[in-house]
Amino acid sequence: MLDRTAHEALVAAVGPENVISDPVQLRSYECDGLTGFRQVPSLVVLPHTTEDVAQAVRACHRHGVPFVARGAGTGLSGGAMPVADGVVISLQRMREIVDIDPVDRRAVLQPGVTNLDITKAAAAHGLYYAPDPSSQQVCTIGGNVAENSGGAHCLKYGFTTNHVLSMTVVLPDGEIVTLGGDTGEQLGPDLRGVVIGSEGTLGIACDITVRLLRTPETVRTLLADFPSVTAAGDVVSDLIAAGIVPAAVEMMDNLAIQAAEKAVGAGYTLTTPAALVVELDGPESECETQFDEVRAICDRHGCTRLHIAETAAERARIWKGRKAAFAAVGRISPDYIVQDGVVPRTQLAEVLSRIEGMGRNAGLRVANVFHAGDGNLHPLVLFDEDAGELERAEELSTDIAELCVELGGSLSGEHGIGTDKACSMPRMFGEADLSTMDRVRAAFDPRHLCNPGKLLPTPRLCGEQPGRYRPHPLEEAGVIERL
Amino acid sequence: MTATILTPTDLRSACEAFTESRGTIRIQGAGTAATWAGTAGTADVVVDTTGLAGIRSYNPADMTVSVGAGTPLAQLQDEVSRNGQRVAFDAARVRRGATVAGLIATADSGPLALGYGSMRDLVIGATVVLADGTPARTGGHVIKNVAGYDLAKLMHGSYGAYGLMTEVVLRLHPAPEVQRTVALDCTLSEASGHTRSLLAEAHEPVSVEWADGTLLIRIEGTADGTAARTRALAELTGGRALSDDEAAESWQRHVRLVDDATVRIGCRPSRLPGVLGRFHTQAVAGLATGVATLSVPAAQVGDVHEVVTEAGGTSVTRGATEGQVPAWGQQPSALRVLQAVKHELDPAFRLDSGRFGTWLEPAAVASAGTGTRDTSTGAAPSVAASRAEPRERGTSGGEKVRGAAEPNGPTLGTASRTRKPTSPGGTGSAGTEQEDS
Repeated sequence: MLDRTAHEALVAAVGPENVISDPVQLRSYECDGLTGFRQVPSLVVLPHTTEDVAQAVRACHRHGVPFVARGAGTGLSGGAMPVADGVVISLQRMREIVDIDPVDRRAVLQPGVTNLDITKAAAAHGLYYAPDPSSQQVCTIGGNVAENSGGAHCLKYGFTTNHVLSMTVVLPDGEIVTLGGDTGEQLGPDLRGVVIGSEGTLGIACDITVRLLRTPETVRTLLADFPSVTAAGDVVSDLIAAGIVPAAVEMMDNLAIQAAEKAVGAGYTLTTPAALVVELDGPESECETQFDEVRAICDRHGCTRLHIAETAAERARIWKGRKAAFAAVGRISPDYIVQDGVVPRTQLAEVLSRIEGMGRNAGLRVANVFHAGDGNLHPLVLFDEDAGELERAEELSTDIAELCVELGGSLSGEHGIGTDKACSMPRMFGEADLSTMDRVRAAFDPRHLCNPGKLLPTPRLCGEQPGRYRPHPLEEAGVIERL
Repeated sequence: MTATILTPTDLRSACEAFTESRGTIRIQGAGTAATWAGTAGTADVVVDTTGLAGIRSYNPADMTVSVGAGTPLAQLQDEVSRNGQRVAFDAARVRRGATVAGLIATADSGPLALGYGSMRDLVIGATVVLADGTPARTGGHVIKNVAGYDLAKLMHGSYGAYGLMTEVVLRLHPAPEVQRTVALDCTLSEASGHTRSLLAEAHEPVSVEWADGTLLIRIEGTADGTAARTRALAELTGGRALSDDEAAESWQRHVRLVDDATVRIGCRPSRLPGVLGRFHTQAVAGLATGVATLSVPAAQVGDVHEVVTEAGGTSVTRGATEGQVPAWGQQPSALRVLQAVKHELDPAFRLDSGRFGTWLEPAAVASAGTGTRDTSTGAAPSVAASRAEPRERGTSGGEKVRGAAEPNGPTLGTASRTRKPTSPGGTGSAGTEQEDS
């Protein structure tokens, strides 16, 4: 519970009508999309303006109350999970599209604006906002900034960090600053780039200015079936080798296809071992030439069925199946965990065969859906909690993420570290790396009030030893010593 | 004073350059940006990054490459071009031997920034040695990665104030089959109008630059596709498709103009003609990116700072400036955070880039009231206090205060100050590229 003076200060900061303290209502804020981690907050405040946010943060700072910023709560790593005896600052009421500037091709947004609404507002000018996470209908630009969200098209177009020009940020002591500027030019080091993807631990992004791109002239999408995951993987390698940068390349294995098809009937082949969705976009003259090349490469690797979307509706249907795949897995399994690891593209075949083996050993099924172009895997570990499989499933899921690191990749491609993977961070980073990150965090938030306990391992979260010890790669190479 | 020059060749010797030396340290790359953002002062030790060179790991199929931070980018381009790949980056000084880390540390960019961004958008991992000799890694070898803070961004534009990059991992792109340029002689405001209409079309230019009287539009792609787009662009603008030789010559001229510039500015693209129109001088303008370089005499630099700041933009000097010309047009809004990061990563103020005026000097950082970890009660230093001035000279965490500190900190608005140029201490080549690396 908050002490009374802190409570009153927060109510004064945003006004009583913008505060939730009813225990029942507070429960809707107890977790984000990662529902396994729950904590009911002491209070939720719902500011309307950047100044409200600053006032609320100042009140927290003055009274030493930890706070967690929250957008739509769609995050999958527990990044927006509340802190015990802390406050949630929900940005849901800050949903104004402040400005769309078709001449300088940018938009100014409050943090609660949903990702898709940016594109909807820009469409009248032939413009759009490129990053498109699967949750784009509900997830907010503020949350995208916190997580450095990508999406299916980020192989070609990059991530949130490549599209945010500047933002007003409320620092953990309540000061309002502007990071970034009107162009890519910088006044000194790029703090904007440090804050984007910091999972709400360095401040709260408020007014966010993003670049808008011209809507591509043409989009060509195909769905291709393959006799094996390996064959589909070879297609991806050949596309890359041919110098083609598709807007998106998505792969699904049979289990994922079955689930998606059951859910949305997107026209996938139920029996195929693997399928690829390949999308090209750009000027028509470029697209057509490359699309022919893509078809030739598919044929070369024994494609058993190739379906080209002839209309926008058909394209939408193919994507609906892909985007629904996560939730659809619920139709073939009572429970599931979505994992999010990355491997270098050339390790795709290796990682998939190892995951298969690990699943077999654990006696659990693993469905695979992934952004094949950039090596970002989303293995779905299927289990039945009622059958007591939860612990085994969580262990398998963690092992898969750590396997990605072992193969030269990353613990997370887009879902973030949050609460979920903080204890795995020592698998990817050495002590010196983590302590350096902690120093940067201390520069922004010396009192550890801003989304504490997330992203970096803490003894409280991970036990005495943060994660299992593994030598730093530089240590193994004999370059550094552990003192 | 003669500085000791250290030339580490690997991570271990890079760490030792810090742990086994005393005094202030300046990081130096190829020296191609020696006079940017002011001039580096003297330091007790110069760490030369050019020994940290060469490809560390490169698997073309992954389209990523890891290189020693002091590798000249041009050399790296040669290597990866053998596999039909490139680093999609073309700042003018790459041709003069600029190093990968120097280009990052100076936040440089070229015409391709319209299509691919700057180095900040291409760096996916780095190893950095902090002033106390701590080696820290950030990012990794995969293009999609959100694990941990992206400390490579902190290095971008840092001019060596926060640490020494020893290794950098870059994202590669396929080299385009064909590049074509459409050119048109016109005034800046005409060029601005053309830019507006061509951006409304779907031709996806990778560069749109007005090079002192000539609008240059570059597109890339397949032979057929670019031919069609070139025709369309020429028709739209009334310009002419250049032959390969003509295009090369036009872009070389662009490079020369940028190399000769004395100030780099950035503001909203639509405001560029108005801003540049105030100065009747040689200029190059990225009409879609809003980034421009112009050549003005030292006496006019202050005016440029003022006009650009009024337009909400940024400006910084790129040539040697005499006397008290400020290097930066305005100070960053989050200066206090930059200072706090300095205090955390280099509390002894050993890394001395000399490129941020007094922003990151001990007295300024101490009076910003940062670094107060876990003071459990009371309000934090207010914004007003942190920007108060004049700044007192003082000590910070028991560290020595360097005597060269100016008495006054930068003021809000346009009045940041740089130190008077001092002759670089005994380094072979004059000055630094970046504190390049």
